[in-house]
Amino acid sequence: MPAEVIVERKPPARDHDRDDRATISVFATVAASVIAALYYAARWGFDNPARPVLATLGLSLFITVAPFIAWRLSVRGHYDEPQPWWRSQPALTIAALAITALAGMLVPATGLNVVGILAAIGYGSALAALVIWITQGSQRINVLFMIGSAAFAVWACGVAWSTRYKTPVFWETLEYHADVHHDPLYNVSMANTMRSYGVSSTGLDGVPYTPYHYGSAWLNSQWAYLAGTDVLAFYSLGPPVIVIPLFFAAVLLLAVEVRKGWRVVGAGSDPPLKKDYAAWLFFLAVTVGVIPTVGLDAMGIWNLHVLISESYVMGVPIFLLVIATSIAFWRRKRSSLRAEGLVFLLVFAPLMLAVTGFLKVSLMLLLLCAAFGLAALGRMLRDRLIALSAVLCVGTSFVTYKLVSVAAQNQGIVPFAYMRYSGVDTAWWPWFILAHLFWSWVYIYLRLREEKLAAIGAIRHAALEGRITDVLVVAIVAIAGWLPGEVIDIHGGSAIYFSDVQRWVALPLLMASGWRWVAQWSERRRETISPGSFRGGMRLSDLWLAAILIPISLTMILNGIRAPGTALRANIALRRGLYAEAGVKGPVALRSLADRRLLATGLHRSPDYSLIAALRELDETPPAIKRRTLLFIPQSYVRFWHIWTEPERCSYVPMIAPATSGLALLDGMPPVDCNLTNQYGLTRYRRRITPQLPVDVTPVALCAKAKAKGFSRVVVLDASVDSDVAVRAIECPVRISST
Amino acid sequence: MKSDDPSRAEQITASRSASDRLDGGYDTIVVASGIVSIGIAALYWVMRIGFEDSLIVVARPVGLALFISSFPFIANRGIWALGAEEQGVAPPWWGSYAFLWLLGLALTAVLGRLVPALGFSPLPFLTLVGVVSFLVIFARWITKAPLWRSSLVIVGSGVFSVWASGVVWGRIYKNPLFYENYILNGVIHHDSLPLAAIGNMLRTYHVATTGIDGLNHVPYHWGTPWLFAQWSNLTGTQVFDFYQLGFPVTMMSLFFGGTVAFAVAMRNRRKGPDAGQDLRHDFRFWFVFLAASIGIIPLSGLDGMGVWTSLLISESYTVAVPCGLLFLATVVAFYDGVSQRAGAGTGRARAVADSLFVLIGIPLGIVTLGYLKISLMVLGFALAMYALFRLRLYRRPLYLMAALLLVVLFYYTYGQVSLPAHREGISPFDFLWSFVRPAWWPFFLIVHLFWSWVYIAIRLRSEGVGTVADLKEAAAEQRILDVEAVALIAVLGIAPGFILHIDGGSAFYFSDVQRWLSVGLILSRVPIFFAVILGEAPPKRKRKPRGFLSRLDSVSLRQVLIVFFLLPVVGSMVSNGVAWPITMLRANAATRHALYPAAVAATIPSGLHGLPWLHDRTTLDEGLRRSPNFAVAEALRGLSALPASLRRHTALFIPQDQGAFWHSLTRPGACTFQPLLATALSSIAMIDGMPPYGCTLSRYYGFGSFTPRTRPQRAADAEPAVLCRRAAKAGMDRVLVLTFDGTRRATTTTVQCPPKS
Repeated sequence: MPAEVIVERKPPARDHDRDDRATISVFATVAASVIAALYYAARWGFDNPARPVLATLGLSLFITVAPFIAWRLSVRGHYDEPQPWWRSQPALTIAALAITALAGMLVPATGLNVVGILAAIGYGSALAALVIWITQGSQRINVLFMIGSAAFAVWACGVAWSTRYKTPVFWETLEYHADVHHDPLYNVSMANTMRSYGVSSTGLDGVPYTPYHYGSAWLNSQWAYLAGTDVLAFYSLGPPVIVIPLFFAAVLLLAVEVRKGWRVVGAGSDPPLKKDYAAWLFFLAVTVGVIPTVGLDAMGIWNLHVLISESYVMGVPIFLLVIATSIAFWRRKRSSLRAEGLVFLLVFAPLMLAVTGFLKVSLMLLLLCAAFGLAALGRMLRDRLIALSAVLCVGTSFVTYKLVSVAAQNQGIVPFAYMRYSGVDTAWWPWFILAHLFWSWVYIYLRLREEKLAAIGAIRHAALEGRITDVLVVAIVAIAGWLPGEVIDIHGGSAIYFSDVQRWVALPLLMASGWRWVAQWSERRRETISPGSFRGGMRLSDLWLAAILIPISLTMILNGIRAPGTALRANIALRRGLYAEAGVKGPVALRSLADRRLLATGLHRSPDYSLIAALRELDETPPAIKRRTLLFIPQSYVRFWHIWTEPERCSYVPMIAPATSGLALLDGMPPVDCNLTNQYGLTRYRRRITPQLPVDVTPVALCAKAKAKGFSRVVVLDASVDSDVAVRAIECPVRISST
Repeated sequence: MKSDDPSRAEQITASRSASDRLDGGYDTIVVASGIVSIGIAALYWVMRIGFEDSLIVVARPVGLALFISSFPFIANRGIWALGAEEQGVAPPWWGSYAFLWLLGLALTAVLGRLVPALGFSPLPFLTLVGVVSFLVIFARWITKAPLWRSSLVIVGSGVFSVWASGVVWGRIYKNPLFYENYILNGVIHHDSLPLAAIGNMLRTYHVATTGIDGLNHVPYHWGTPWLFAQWSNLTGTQVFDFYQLGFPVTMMSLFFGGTVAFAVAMRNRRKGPDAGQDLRHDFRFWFVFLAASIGIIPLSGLDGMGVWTSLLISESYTVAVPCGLLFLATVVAFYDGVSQRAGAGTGRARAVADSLFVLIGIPLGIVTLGYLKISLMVLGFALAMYALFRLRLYRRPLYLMAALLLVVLFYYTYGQVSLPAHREGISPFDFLWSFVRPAWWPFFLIVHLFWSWVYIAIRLRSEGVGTVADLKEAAAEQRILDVEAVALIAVLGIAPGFILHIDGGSAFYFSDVQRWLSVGLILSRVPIFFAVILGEAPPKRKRKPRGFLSRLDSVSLRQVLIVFFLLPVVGSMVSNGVAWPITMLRANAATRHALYPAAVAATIPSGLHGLPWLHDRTTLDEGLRRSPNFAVAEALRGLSALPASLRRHTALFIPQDQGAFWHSLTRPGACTFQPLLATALSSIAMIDGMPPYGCTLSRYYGFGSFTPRTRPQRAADAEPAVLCRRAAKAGMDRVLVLTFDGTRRATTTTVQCPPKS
């Protein structure tokens, strides 16, 4: 963006900045409330306490809305004065997030749960923001906006819940036929071992440290403390209710921060965010997709992955908030550099790199690339303070990388690996870079056109003059994000978490610029064609535009309803399955599928109920006992080790135990005949090379193994003669008690 | 449609030599068409190495193709040399390149029809004319442009012929080893069988029928079977074989050459700056041509939108489209001639010719299209009616009479060529339901009619039409008749698939016509096309920058964008271009592999890598002899060698207990097509040849013209007296009974029926 726009200034008469931020708050409030309500509705008929849902909603509002109120109060009366970066809304949002994490840490340490206070602040802030916002502008627009936000929330949580990764009835699905994906079990097992033992580990045989970007697992476990629920249940509640609104609020916040700078160029002509149709069109197009989902998938653009990967959905908003905070810092730095500059460069920047690294390692690397790219182009490294900050950033990133990077994910140099192994048809390869980075290209092209840069030389000069810094950021993130997947084979299509980031950087910039381009376009049209009568003067270009927009709009609607439809169908299918288990024959009307008694009966009769229930019960073990306890499930207990009938899933079966019981396993590696994956931290354990023998399962042998790992208690879960499952505890030295 | 800048156009046109103006790009069409024909024939020959593979057999259709493609050029020059040009401002419609090409086709068909009567084939003469003409045109052509441009066209045409071969032979519809595939395992597509059967019946009995139980008339657009039957006469081959070799060699060049010729005719008539320009001058022309033919997005994307680049498997469509375009170009030439002569004195001969063209030529041309492909007739009829009212031609008695005649002929022809089974009633969005995933429906109209949209948008823009008012004005001034024609064909073409159920995705043959019309028109305006899309190119710098960075700096964003978009487009074109030929070669290799003894085949790599080791004639021949359908195929084929005079009063009977024949086609549901194989291979009509009792009969392919079996065939049904009674109904007095023994050896028994009392 032009250098002269990055200055703080007095708001003009028609400044919409504060209103726009209120709009973001209302958007987040509506989205969080709708998702929470849908979560609650999806659990009708099951065990469905309101408290965790309300607490989670309160936390969500505290993180996304309270910073707006805090910012608004902080600038009250002196809005026109330069604002330090740490008082910017993005920085305050990061702070609110940190406060909730700290509050979560307090719970196990002190027994004090301040969620009531945080939630009260959240609800109060939401109410205040709503009152502030609703008094501005047309009520018709306000109502439409709220309806639109609610509809969008339905789509977003539909995407999150339309897979086997997350669902409001995750526990019930697990207990019914265990038809769940193993990824959440992996994440929750890490969260649980951090809770129980203070170590990041999957806990399959003791708790050896397992490198992974476990930041989101840790954060979710802290929020689960606050919400008063187990982590596995929280994984389907917390990320949708807290993080999805935060994700999109961060996108909008970055758009608003960028718009704040652009106003100098288009002074007075910009519409408020809620009436900025161009911005919302971009918002929906980029998120929901303008071509059918199958087409997006074919180009490796996976909307599902964005919202089902809690680490990505958590990391991206932090990434965007850091960029937004940096813009706030840079605006002020242009005028003066004070003490807060030192804090930003020497503390905030390195710290946030580490934080993003723990949340999603790809985001840390891209942030570092973008920062270094800009610093190098702007010759900023000549500034000693910035050079020192750069050294700190590199050092922090290096250490973080070492801690979180999973070596096994890097499967070596394989040209075009992402295209080859992620379902992109070979015939479509020539189109891949164009389609996959589509929105980045759109932004880059439109901005260069806006700047009237017609040749490479002109672009180079503009870049060096700092006129197209925004374009450079998008280009660096796009190219640097695209390269890893095309050079290295990153397991499980995780290269998407590099290459998709550009979409979320381009989106806020497109939203910030949409109105300007529309205004310029309208201006050009007015100059070229004089309007005539309504019919005769109707422009053919409008008709062409309509011809293109109609299929795009239809596709967006279809894309929008597909995921919620899938989630709804899965919920109904589970209920029907449980009804069948309960002995109900024949088709059951939709309205009758929430019978508490029938669902409970069906659940109790479900094939995997007793096993999962027994494991879940172990999670009730007091933390002090948990800390010295390991769980042992003998290989002879086929019901557990073959809970998934697909042989290729044998590697992931043991993760069920730590994810559901909160206890790490002892000697819990998969059976000897299992074709073990080298992912999911399994290389941290010694693979089984001989079948488990009777001598391996004696109390003495188990205690010896436990002792070697620093534990003094073993809980054995096994089949019993009179019931499905038996649990007995072995105190080491050997003392057995049965339950 | 008016000239863009007549005064300048005339200056430029006048500055060119008369000879060049006459060639006007057509010489490139002759050269490219010839190379495509030769290329396809050569590939056919290569793909049959190791099998019966006579060079003479392959050369015959090449000679015919060269004659057909060079005839309009030499005839056009001949007419010009005779002074027709001087008779008026515009050349007469009958001297137009388009009409002469159609005339060439008709001439060869008539000559083919005369072969049985004459007792000899004039093919050697036609070949001589074709080859000499081609060589002369080629020699003149190559001197008229830089060698690298000519070389590119020659190499490009050669490569294009490989792609075109792949499209025709890449599926089991047609194949150089079609006959061998039947012998090997009976896995061949049934579509070629009824066509070859109809061709044979037309050739033997002069009746349009599949001949599976007598000679009941089968309503069908049998124009191509008839045409191919005549060309089979000329080339001395079986119709069955002509479909595999003769059709691709002669008709691929017609299809693409006809489209390009239409474009050149449309271009030259405007007398713009590019009128008469050599087609080697601007390679953007060929880029657009290839993009439209091969596709600019991957095949899976095109298929997903019901845009099938493998349309060349339909011989009726492949023949009808260029004929339709050439006919349209003839009509436009007529229109131009009439318009330019308006008010001026006209010779009596020309006036008579013009009147005959309106009264007979246009109606006959349209209904002839119906015999080639019914969809083309329907769309042509609609376009003619539109023109009648749009240009208010109904005010003139001659045109009104022609229209009335057209209506009558259309009605009659529709009944002749439309299969009743195909009229399956209203079925909303049938084509979409059948071939397009619902998620993609919203984009269907944009993608399926892509080239029409492109042409309409570009033409309107080039005409300065920016508003609906401008549009109305342009339409009122008749400046955009071409746009109206494209829109009409697009809308009417897409409608059947949206409304009716047409079996086998044949609605495509309505909706795809707009593609070739609009592509032809786009090609006629290539400079405008690119000017509108890319805008005006910035002026070139006088001094070129030195040094890498300076050069890089001088690269424009426009150039970067062009390359950026061109890369995936070209990538897809290359990918699409190789897909079909590779499929074709793989199929060829698979057939050879299967014919080799298992022990030997096991040592040879499968797929393309095995081809170099799979051409041993003896091994392949032994493989064929071992194959299950060898005896059946050879026996049936042997019958086709009987004199035509004998076949004409002979019927073929194959008892139902002859499993060797009745179970020789092995694809699921193939039992219904089994009798078609007999008539397609033997050229003799069957009696009592309906598929076995219990077989699920197809509703299509003319089966409705015959009575289905209501019970299994009994021994009494095969009694000579019964057979003779059946044969007599079909007007025959001789029955050949074909049976196979335990070792699958064929025995033919002749039943000579007593003369009618």
